[in-house]
Amino acid sequence: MIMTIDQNQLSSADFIKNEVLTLGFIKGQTSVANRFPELYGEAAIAYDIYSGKHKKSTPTDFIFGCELIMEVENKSCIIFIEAEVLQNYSLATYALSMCESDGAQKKLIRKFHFDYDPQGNSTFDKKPKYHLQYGGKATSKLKENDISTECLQHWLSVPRFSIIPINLALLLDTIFNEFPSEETKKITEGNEWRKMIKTNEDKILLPYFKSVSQFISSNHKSTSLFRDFVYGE
Amino acid sequence: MIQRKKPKKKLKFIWIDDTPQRRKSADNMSKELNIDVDFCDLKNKNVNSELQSISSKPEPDLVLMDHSLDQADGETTRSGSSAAAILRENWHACPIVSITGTDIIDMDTRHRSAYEAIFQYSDISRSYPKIMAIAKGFSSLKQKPPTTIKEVLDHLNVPEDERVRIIKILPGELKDNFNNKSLLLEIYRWCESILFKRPGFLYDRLWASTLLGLNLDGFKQVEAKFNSAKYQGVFTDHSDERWWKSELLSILGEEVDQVGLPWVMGRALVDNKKDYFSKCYVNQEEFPETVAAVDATNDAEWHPMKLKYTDPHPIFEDMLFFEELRMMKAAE
Repeated sequence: MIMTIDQNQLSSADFIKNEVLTLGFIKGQTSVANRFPELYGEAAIAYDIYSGKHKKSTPTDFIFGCELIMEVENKSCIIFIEAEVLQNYSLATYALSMCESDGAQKKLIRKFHFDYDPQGNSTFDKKPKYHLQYGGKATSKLKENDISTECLQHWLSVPRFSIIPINLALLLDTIFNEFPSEETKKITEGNEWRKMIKTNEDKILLPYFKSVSQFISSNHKSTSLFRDFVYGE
Repeated sequence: MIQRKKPKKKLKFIWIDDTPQRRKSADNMSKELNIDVDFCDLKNKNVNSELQSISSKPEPDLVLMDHSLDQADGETTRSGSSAAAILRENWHACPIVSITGTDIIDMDTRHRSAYEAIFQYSDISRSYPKIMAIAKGFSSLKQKPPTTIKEVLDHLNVPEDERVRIIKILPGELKDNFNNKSLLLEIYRWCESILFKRPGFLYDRLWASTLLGLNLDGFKQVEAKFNSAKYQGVFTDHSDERWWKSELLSILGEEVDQVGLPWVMGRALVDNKKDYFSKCYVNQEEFPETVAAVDATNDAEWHPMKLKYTDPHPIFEDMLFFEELRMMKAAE
């Protein structure tokens, strides 16, 4: 039997259902509403729309974007988080864009994409199934805010680094931990938040590590490297 | 055997006034609303002893109180608000609304707080829906007084998805002490001052239409689709309707294929006809993101506006889970 790094990955429908649950979780969090009203507002609106949309049907696509204003290394930064997951993972991408702002003008200073591409090993554009990419094309939020990606040489889409899978909850948790403040600590150290992250680690990370563990214990050899495994070869 | 439906008990109001000519208005109200209205004429009478006598009787569904009792016996209570306080000694959960011949704005805060609502006498028939909403709301609460938070939420008919958030912002007196004699009054006051007044959980017509990217005419075109989002809990006032924001969005999600901003999605409901689009009051730009007051006065008009043309409203503090209320920026 062929082993793949994403063999235990949730189906796209279950993955999207879980993303909607995360929005619902955020909608109920007073700590988020108090400290990150933009995230809270966008999540609450998106959750209500999705919950109506999926009263009678299973979700097939998930699109979400929000803006956070955070202190990063003593500087105020605008951080955009965007998610786009389409049916059967024909697209599954999470973007993190960081901008500095001098009032009217917003300037892009960092931009990362976290992608899952189940077709990782196409001949012409080989990439790890779960990968991180620096730069990349402008996202909807950047376009909406008229923020140019020129400064990051957006034409360049390599290298792509193999990473662990991610979703909205895990990305937010990473951001809150990487850009810590009294505000973020109050959120991430709360019991409810930790429980929610544990659920997401169970759903997203455990299946990944199970596949890796299976591979390493049974099929790891010079003709079948971990590198081959992450590229889906 | 055919079971006959028990006839609905007529609501009973008491109208306390020192202007006997208003008896005619009480009779009109009785006929129009199909309720019993007892008119108590206090002209030249001792208000205190009259009130003692009135409040020794069974509690009515609502009291209409003349705010100025200056034609009553000079030695006794002269204001409706003091009279209301006397009535409440026996009638703990009776709504008392004021009828005033003078401008409501002229009434000071202490007097205002004695009443559940204040109505201009000259405008009384236009206030019937509101008066009935108050009376029916109290009547329904009295039939089954809440003894748990869940029962409070049931009376408010809160959608399942909103219950956790509402519990988080309910004031302590509505969560902790169900033996409190004035619990029903507290519920009403919270609904009136917060739940119905501040856009957040509930939206009025202007906020609802702006959320959907539509003007009031546009919203009228699609309003029927959102009927199930209407507030149907206690104190529902059919002349001033509210919609649950979460239900508006949920129905929008059901109705429109795409996912995105509600004010973009909503336009699909009117086939993207520009005549029905909501526009910014300041310069007619599309996609106003908020509804803001034109100035800081009490009777200021509220209009859809782009955020960039507004500032936080100086009077309204931010409240968790409610919209930030804003005001049009002063012209530079």
